[in-house]
Amino acid sequence: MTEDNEFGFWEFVKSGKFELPAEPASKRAVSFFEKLFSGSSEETGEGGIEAVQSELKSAPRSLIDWLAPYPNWEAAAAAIKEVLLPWLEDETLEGNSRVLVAPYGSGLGEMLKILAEENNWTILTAPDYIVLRTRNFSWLEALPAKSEKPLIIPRLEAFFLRHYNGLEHIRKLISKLFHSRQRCIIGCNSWLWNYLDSAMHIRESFNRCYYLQSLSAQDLQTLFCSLESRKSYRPTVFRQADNGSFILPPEKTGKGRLDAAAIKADSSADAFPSAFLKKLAVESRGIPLVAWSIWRNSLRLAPDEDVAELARETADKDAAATATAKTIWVKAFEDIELPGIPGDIGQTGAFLLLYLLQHDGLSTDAIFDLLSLGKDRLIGLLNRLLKAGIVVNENEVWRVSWQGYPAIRRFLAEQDHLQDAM
Amino acid sequence: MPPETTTPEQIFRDFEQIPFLYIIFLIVTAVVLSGLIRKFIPALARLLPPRFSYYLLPMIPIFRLLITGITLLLLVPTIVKPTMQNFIAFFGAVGLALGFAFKDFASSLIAGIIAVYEQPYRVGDRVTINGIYGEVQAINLRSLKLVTPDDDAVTIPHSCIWNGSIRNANDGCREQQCSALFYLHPEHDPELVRQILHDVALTSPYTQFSRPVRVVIREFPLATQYRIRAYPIDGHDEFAFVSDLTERGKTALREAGFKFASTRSPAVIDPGESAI
Repeated sequence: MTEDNEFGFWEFVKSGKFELPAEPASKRAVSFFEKLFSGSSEETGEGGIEAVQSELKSAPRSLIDWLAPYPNWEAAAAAIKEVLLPWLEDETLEGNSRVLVAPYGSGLGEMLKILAEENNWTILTAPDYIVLRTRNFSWLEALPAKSEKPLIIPRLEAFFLRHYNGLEHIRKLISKLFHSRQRCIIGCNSWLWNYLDSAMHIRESFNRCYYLQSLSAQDLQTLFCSLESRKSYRPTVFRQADNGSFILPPEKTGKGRLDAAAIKADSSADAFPSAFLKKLAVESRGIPLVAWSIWRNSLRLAPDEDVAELARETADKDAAATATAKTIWVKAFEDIELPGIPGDIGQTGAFLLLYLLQHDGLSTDAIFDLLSLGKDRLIGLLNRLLKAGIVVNENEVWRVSWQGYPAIRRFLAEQDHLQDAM
Repeated sequence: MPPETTTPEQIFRDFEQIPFLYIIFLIVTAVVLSGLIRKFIPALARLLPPRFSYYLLPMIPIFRLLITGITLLLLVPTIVKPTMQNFIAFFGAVGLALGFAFKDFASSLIAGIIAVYEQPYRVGDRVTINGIYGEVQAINLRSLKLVTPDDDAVTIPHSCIWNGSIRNANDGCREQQCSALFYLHPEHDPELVRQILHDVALTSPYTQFSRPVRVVIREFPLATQYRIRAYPIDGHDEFAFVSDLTERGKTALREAGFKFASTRSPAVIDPGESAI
């Protein structure tokens, strides 16, 4: 398999062509009835399996980093360049800016930074938050002079503040870029894009924008295999803990890959992508870092005697072929514990989560500044959300956790605050 | 030939024939069902996304009216001998008695039935009746209950719909236009003020973007009035929304160096602003 084929799943499409991962009709029906009768749930498997699964140990952080390291975005950056190539090579400028929109947790900012570094293009640095909350627009004077090379804004979120002075900074930036006739590539998350489009019709200011296509189950399989193969030098098999089926094709994981012909069970092409990955694609809405963080959460270790009998039986069929392989047990998708929204966080919680998504993270001071809802209340709320795993605090910046994103999106939809362009 | 007369003995069933247990059962069932409706529908509305409450809550009085009507229809034949003549005589007598003795009560009762169908107000609507502004919390057979912004509960008989006017701010919709007023010293740049106030509304977390945000200017002798007109996502947030707009609007204008009107003479107070 060539490198191009392996990583060709990064795709940027026009708005009409964006699609979410396909959700099986049965899953939709189950979701509906689950909502209707919240007590009922999907089948939990045979008796005893759950108990065994509970004995599975979380894989140590170092092993998880080994098996599922943070994605690198070179292939995605190459995909961006490919889609923009006709425009970059066109000497008669049809429009001076292109916008790339991706959901929260897509790594778009990193993709654009890599693209800029690889091509030696200039990255526009955002002004400080303190500047954005004033009507001091002098930072715009420092924009680089017009050049043949495109200017990159990896995260438009960094230039935005949902503050009464914040919108004017964005307006002036767009106006400046428009008048400069400088080619500019702008990355923006879908929450902010939706907000700016509602508030100031930003879509009309740009000739064309592209959306990151969601990753299908097949794409996730390719991504996870590639991540694992980056570091692992011994055969690794990923099996579902409750039934022993392969989650990833064993012949594609680990550097010392197994011989596909020697593996009998579950390894036919029809079995992949696995049901686990199909469910993961739907739950994560095909968003790379959301799927990646749930994948990491699902990885488990267990001594052989702890494994469910059914799982062991299936594994025994391939014993000869997989004897040298390290087995990683993956929790059944239904058993993965994802962060949930704490009860009664209500509208204040919805506002806070919405602001964190639109800004791609905020400092504590900025939260107090933008949401005049009482500092005590906000501190209490942040602590509750942190404890629930819905938000994380990294380098003094609060942001929504990738694993918590599916629950947050559902919560905001219930609260009628679903302001997402994708 | 003398006209045929009907005596009470001929209208009502014999005392022994009246099924008292059945009557008690019917009344208890109606009371329990009515109570359940009052509890169940609001609970269901709380479980579902907020927008559903605007469809569910107004159904409470309709269900309760249906329960009352059906109970009466079932009760009357147990007391009155079931002939057409008897029914006409019974309802005629009841109507006459109500008309004289409980005129106002009957008026409110009938107005309540009409209000259920005409819907000048529904549960969840924010209305002004007889100068009292508040949210309709409950619609009973005789009266409706409003809760004012000061958290006072006010009971108003339905008969208010006969003569008085009812001002309904949201008329069954979730959205409701709100306005925040600002008075500035006349010497200023109105374009900049409008833009700042527009952005104040656009950056409020409460703002509904599917509805327009407008800033309307009106000139008074001692001040220029700016009115932000915008819709919150949920009309229940009316006061929080107006407070947010006012607080941030004042801060924004002060930061930008604008001077507020120092004197609010009667001339600068808009007669229409008293609603909010």
